[in-house]
Amino acid sequence: MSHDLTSLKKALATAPAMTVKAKLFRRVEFLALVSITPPNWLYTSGKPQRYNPAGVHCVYFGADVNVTRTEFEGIWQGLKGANQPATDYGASVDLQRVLDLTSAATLKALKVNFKDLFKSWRRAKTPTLTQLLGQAVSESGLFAAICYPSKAAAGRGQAGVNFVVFRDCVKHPDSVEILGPTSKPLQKWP
Amino acid sequence: MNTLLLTTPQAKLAAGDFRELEPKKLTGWNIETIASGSIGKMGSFPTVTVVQVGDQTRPGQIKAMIPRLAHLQTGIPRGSFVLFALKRQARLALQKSRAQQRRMQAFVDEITVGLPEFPNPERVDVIEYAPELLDKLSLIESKLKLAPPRSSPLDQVKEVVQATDDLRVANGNLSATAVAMVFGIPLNQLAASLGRNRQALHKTPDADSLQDELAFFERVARLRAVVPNAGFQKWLRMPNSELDKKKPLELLATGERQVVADLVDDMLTGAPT
Repeated sequence: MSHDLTSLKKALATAPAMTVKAKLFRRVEFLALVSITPPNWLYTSGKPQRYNPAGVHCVYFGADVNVTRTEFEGIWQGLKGANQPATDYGASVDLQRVLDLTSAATLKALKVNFKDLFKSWRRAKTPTLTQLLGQAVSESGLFAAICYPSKAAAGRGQAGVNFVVFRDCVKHPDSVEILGPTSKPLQKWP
Repeated sequence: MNTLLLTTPQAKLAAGDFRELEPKKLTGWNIETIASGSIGKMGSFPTVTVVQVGDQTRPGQIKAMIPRLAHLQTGIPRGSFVLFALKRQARLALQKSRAQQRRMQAFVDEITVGLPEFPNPERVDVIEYAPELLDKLSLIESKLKLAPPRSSPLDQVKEVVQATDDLRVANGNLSATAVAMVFGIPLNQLAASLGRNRQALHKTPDADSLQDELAFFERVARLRAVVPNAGFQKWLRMPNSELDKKKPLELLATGERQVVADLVDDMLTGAPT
């Protein structure tokens, strides 16, 4: 089934929402982290990624340290660069409405095939389904984040879940707080 | 051939849209005309997108289409051009003319607010429809032959940039000879990839005219900040699952240089797969 932004926005209105109150994780290369002083723990480049076309600002998290490490190792594909210093950090996330793409009910509401979530996007000439989904979520404001299956983990025969949180959709009482050494977050949204 | 996309912020195109454009003055362009709602369904990315903004347009429609236009910029190695062409009615009574001016200003304000959404905001412009458009397209054709890859957050990281110092000659220019050596390819092969004359490349491997094309190779070679050269050359020649099982070197040769440069950028910044 072919999807476009309009049909996805319409379908989002009928999709179930999940509440997420959890600790999520990121793993970022040390060199990249220190390129901005002080570190921007919630840095968004606006560059296209799997669940966002260019211009949509968001941050990607793993549900646990295992999946962030699998993602990290996945992109390095056995190169020695995988051994470089990298920083794991966590965020306390409290989001009322998250689109759960690991749920069959959500996929049915969106008329999306599970396999389509793993299609490659880097060489795509037009926005992919997952990028359109991210854009629809971001523009509609119906959800603050998407929970989706990790391709890197699936490639290893493991179950792993990632989250993409859309900066402009995180509004009070939702929150994303980067955990620091004290109870005061290092950085937070909104 | 460069693709010129003509569109409007309205959901559907009207019969008279773009009628002032004379196709014979647009020779050399592959012209496509689609409604804003269909942006994203095209088979390829346009080199230039012209958004006709006129009487029927509302500022909110411009705001709504900016993310789609921003995505279009990503499909061209150096970022495509987006021109908002304001279409004014001539010979209006003073009051109507002022109202039109206010409306046009509201459009410009909306575009200004949306500018940070574009990965290449320097390639977004507001012009007057028809009279200015042809001159602008002519200028863009010239610019397309220049221009480097889009900027990277790693441009300021000393360790990363130092990893490609050996690609530069004393005057700071990138050298095709050094690029060929680091990438492990004959200079003749690099000349073919760049669509350049082999003898000219041998004679002046660090020519100014080569710098924008070589900049993509420099971006890819930044991987050597954390990967030894032997590993880097192996990576270039291995099918990569992130690139639909294509080899990075193959895509560099066939023109998908920004795709490979972006992948390296993501590897070095911890972006997800």
